[in-house]
Amino acid sequence: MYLFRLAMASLANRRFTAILTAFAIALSVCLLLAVERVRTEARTSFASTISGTDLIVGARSGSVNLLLYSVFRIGNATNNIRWDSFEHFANSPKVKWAIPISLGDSHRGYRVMGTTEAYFEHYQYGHQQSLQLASGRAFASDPFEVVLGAEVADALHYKLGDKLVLAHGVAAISLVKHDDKPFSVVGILKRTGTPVDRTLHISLGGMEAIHIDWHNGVPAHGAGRISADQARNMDLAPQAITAFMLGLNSKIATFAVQREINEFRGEPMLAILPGVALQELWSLMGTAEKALFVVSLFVVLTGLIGMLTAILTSLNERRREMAILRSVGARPWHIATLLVLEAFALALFGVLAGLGLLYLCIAVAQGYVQSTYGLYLPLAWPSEYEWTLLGGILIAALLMGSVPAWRAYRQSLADGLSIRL
Amino acid sequence: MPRALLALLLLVAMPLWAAAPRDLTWSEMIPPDAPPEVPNMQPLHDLSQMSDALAAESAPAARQDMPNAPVVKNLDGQSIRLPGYIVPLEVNEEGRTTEFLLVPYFGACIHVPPPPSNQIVHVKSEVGVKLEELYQPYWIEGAMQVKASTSELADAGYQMDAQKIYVYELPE
Amino acid sequence: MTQALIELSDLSFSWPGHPPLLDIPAFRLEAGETLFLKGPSGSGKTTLLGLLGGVQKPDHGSVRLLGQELTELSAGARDRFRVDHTGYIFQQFNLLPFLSVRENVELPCHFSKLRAGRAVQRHGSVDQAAATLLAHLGLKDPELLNRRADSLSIGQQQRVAAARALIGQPELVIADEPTSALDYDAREAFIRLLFAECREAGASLLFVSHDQSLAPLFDRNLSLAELNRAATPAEV
Repeated sequence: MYLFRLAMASLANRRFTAILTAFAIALSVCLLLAVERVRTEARTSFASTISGTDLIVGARSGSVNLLLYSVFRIGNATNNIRWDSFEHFANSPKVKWAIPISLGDSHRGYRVMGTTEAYFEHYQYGHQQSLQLASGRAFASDPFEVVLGAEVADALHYKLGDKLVLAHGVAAISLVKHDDKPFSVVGILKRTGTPVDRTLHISLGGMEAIHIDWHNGVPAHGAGRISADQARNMDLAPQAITAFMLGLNSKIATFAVQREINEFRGEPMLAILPGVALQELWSLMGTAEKALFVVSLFVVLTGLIGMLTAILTSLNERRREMAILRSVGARPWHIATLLVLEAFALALFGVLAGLGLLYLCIAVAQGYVQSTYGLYLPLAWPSEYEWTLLGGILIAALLMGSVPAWRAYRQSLADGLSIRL
Repeated sequence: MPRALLALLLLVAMPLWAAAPRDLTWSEMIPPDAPPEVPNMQPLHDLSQMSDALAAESAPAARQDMPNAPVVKNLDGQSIRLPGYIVPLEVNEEGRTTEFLLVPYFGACIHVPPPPSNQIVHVKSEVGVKLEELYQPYWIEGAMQVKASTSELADAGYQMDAQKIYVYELPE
Repeated sequence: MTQALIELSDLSFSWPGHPPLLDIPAFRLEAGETLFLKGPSGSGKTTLLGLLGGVQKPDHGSVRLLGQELTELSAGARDRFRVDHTGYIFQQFNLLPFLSVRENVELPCHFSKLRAGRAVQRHGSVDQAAATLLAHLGLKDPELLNRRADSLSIGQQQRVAAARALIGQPELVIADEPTSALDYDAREAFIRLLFAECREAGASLLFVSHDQSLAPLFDRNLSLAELNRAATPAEV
């Protein structure tokens, strides 16, 4: 359309301002989309972390807290559960399988989890996908064997047969190490995109073995110390665990078993349905997400107002331009349309540049985000929702463009053909 | 020839499939001759029982039996629609629950005694429902499947593959 | 009596809140006529040109262009009528600086199908029409046609403006002080070129200026103060 060509030529004449304006919009669009992407990916990642588990049981605390530390390895348990409480329910006729887990140690910032072979057999994520080994095997009878999650192996460059030392506590820098009892890597899991990748898995016996000569949180000195070989020969049956996961024979019995566990007289415990706890987590996150979204919308608005200001300021210099156009036959609505097209073109460039900027940022930061936060940001085409957002921005730009368009319309009517110098 | 017969049979059966699903109420899912349920009304937070509760918690674990509630076998295969609240079991990547339990009241899993097993339906759905929208009840349409209790191990229960799920609106 | 190109009768106009600016009982411009109209700034000549172009409506009276009573038309229709039948040349800054010379000349054809049609009929294409007109006005170099309009000298720019006013054979060309920015020698040459093109197109030329020395070149010579009953004594 000829008017569009005219608008482009006019913009090109004011190249510097136009580029700055489009760039401001591009930055704000990039921010909005980045926030949306991270939010969506975080939710997806949370939702696909656990599957096929009917109940998660821990010492009595809050349900979201239990979900977070047992599945996502975020936060800590308040208390432990006795082994015989676990056995009571693991042996119940209603329970198909049970996985005990023990948390509390770390290795160079990654969490260590003690569990049984049942974990590798029954734990599922995503669409009922089971864990698979990329190499090696699960731990067996020797307590000092460890199976690594994919991210741990990649980031710390471990392979089968390597020896590593586990530390007490969960901070990234641990000052008290179990370095007299090194573990050997017997297996590495395939990547799952869940916190499993960032975990080191040892047997419950292994967990007992490294704590066997600790009293009240302090390792024994001198004669009190027990070597690795001595430990192997001792009874390493666990006394307490942090939590356990249950798979039931019939899903309909879920509530009944949950009630049974919650009212267990042996010990105060809490049983949660992972789906329900996830729902509660969702609503917690929802408020923060909405706030973040609103902030980034405001940033986009700022960018658009910048564009509006730039166009309005240029109107004065362009009165001559308008009068010339009027003299060659442009009607006032032509002039108005020119300005709306200009605003639209600027916003369009801004949006496309913003998309490009987003992909650039993702390409650059993808690896870092994955290894630090366990979040995978894909380089995918914009989703339907994102297209709607971008469309909304363009419409907002059109509406903004109608402000200078209206002013130019009135001006061109008033000025007529006279070119005021 | 047998194929044609099968096709003819299916054609005849079509009207059955096409019929609107029947509205089912929760009370219909309890057989009329079932013994009245004595709900286990033990409150969790009765402070007057505090000392008893504390003493009890350190006692050895007591076994609790949950009787299987009887089911109405006639409902098997019926195309029905039933309103209820959704308790999610499985959640897919998009944050939608595709396998859930349908119960007659909200908060069934948290503070009140859980519903007996003949007031719970185990539902599977391809489309699912968004996690954020489970605070309201939904109509679930589909064919009810009834599994009778055979032993203490296999629980009796109602199951469904949901054909349609939509929000339950109070009649004006 | 053949139809006049322009016919004004009983025209009166005043800006809101101001004393009457124009009061013209009668005025005619014939087809093909060249008229020199003397009018210093502030005498209402800009307003008169605006009324002739249908940009403003008179408070009272009639403005007929090619027999069409402009006051009867809507604002949009007046705009259309103006571009279909009138070409304008201003004192300076006639051209859109960010378009090429050729694109500037072709502008009216984008807004008037009538003129575009006439240009095609006469020259085969709008492109060709522009090139031919510019050549007649002394701008033959093809490379020049594609240059940015603001890279030309003032004299060249005025000739481009003339070409733009004439493309598509409008019946009326209004020139508002087109030579004031040119140096003395160039003025007469410009006017001769303008006359030649108007004659070839059969267009009338209404030339407004305060430079009396050019008056003898024209068919008729008038002063706005004579026409305008509302002229203040200082102007007469």
